[in-house]
Amino acid sequence: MRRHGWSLLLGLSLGALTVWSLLDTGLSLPALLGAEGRRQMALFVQRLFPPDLSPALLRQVGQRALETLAVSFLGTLLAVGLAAGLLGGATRTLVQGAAFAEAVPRGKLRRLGQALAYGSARALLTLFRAVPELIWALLFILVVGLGPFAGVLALGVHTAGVLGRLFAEVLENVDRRPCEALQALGASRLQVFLYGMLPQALPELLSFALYRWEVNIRAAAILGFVGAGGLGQQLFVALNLFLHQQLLTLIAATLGLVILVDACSALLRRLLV
Amino acid sequence: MFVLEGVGKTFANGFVALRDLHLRIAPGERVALLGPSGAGKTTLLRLLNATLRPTAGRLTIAGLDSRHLHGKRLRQVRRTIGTIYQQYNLVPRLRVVHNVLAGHLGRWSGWRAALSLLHPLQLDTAVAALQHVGLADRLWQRTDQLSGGEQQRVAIARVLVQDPAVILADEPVASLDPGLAEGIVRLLVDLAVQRQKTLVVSLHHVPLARAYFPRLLALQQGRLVYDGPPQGLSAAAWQALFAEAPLPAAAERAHVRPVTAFPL
Ligand SMILES: Nc1ncnc2c1ncn2[C@@H]1O[C@H](COP(=O)(O)OP(=O)(O)OP(=O)(O)O)[C@@H](O)[C@H]1O
Ligand SMILES: [Mg+2]
Repeated sequence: MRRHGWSLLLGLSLGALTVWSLLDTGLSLPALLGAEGRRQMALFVQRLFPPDLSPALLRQVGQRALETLAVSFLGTLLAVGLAAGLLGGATRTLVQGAAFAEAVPRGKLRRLGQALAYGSARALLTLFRAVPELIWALLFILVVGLGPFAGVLALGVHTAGVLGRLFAEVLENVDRRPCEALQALGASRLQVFLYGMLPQALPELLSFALYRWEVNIRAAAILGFVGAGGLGQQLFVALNLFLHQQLLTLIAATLGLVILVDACSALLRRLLV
Repeated sequence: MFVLEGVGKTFANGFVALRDLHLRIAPGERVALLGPSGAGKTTLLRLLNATLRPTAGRLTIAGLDSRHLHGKRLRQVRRTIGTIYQQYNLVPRLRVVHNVLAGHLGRWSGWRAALSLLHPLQLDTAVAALQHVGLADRLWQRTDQLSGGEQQRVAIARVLVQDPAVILADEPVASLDPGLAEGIVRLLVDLAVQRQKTLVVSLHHVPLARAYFPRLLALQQGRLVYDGPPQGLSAAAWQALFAEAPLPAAAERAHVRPVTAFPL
């Protein structure tokens, strides 16, 4: 009876949310599928052909594609580094030393310090991931200037927020019994982490990092729109200057890049995880 | 080695697992801990290895009051106590060599420990320990590829490397078949005798306890109900002790651990 009530309430809320979203976004089916909409689409697709395959453009696109690849890779690497740096504070079981048995009664000050470390590490991670990559990119362009370096920093910081939280949760959920055994034979907190938690968590950590790399290759391609280098920059120019025939080449290059990274990631996952 | 004066343990949820234990275990003694499921055997061993703290009374480990053990001193005390658990002693994804070398962690710095994961240090100690338990050829194998009995022997090898003054074992044979069980108990007892270590083993198998241990402790619902030589209680009395176990728990136990099929 009670559960029924909740399901009904939930269903109604979802329905209301959908209706409101539809109204608020001004979604209109006629605009998409009406005669005018169809004509515009056909025109756009027509203008894409034939794609521009001149050697000069291809060389340029190749360079930009490599840049995008580098940005996504370095950004993800930076993110893993940043996330790892914050793990000591963001993982509850690492913050509280005796987490593998029961909390040892310690001074109030010590507990306050632990709570503060945990709270601030988690808050920092939340800030990192709450701000989108594009905003981080705009910010870093102000600091380090236009170009791929700003892209790396932007991806690194945002992704660190995502990975840091995922990593912390994986580490908090490892089997504690082997860890308790290590603690009981005199291992320090760092040693329990190295010998007990990390080996158990490593496959999942790697898997998450690789997945974020796949996400970041897409993000890196867009970052150029705000001037952070890579394919996006050229995509932006081509769109704005109505260079439609270049556009198809660029879209194809982006697609190829995404497929390449997905394949690399799948291969690495099979080898490492 | 251990002195317990009125020791009690109440868990955070209010459950009283141990109450008013008075007992003294001298260095070099060999003690078997018996009692039905839920009697508090594991809890007592976790108190002895300074994983848990008593909530009542006083526990002294090698002359040190466990209430005042913190930080470095706590680590030092833990280093001198080796524990073998019923299961889940080892990190499954680690190679056998690293699980065995983990016995050094109480002495190693963080750096040494990290380095050893990349390039095993003091390898000879791991080889010697594994030889002692008859598993020298498994050094580089991943631990989760080993059988339950082999893993238990790896856990013993880790204790050998740790070289503690006390060995605690919590039902080390409960998940093994009877043939293997006696071998493991004998291995532990021989080790304790040869190297003059204190040995406290919780067991479910009364005949094994009577055969290998000069002193038996019996726990029942968190209380110490017997402390003395095996001859002090008749086989029938032991049977009665275990019959006290609440039935549903006993049934569950029979399901997961075939060892209860033993004649008690
Ligand atoms: N962390 C805990 N919080 C609350 N209760 C606990 C906790 N750990 C153990 N207990 C309870 O304390 C009682 C004694 O547990 P303990 O594991 O010491 O028994 P045992 O004698 O080792 O039993 P078994 O033979 O089944 O291993 C049990 O009823 C158990 O449910
Ligand atoms: Mg137990």
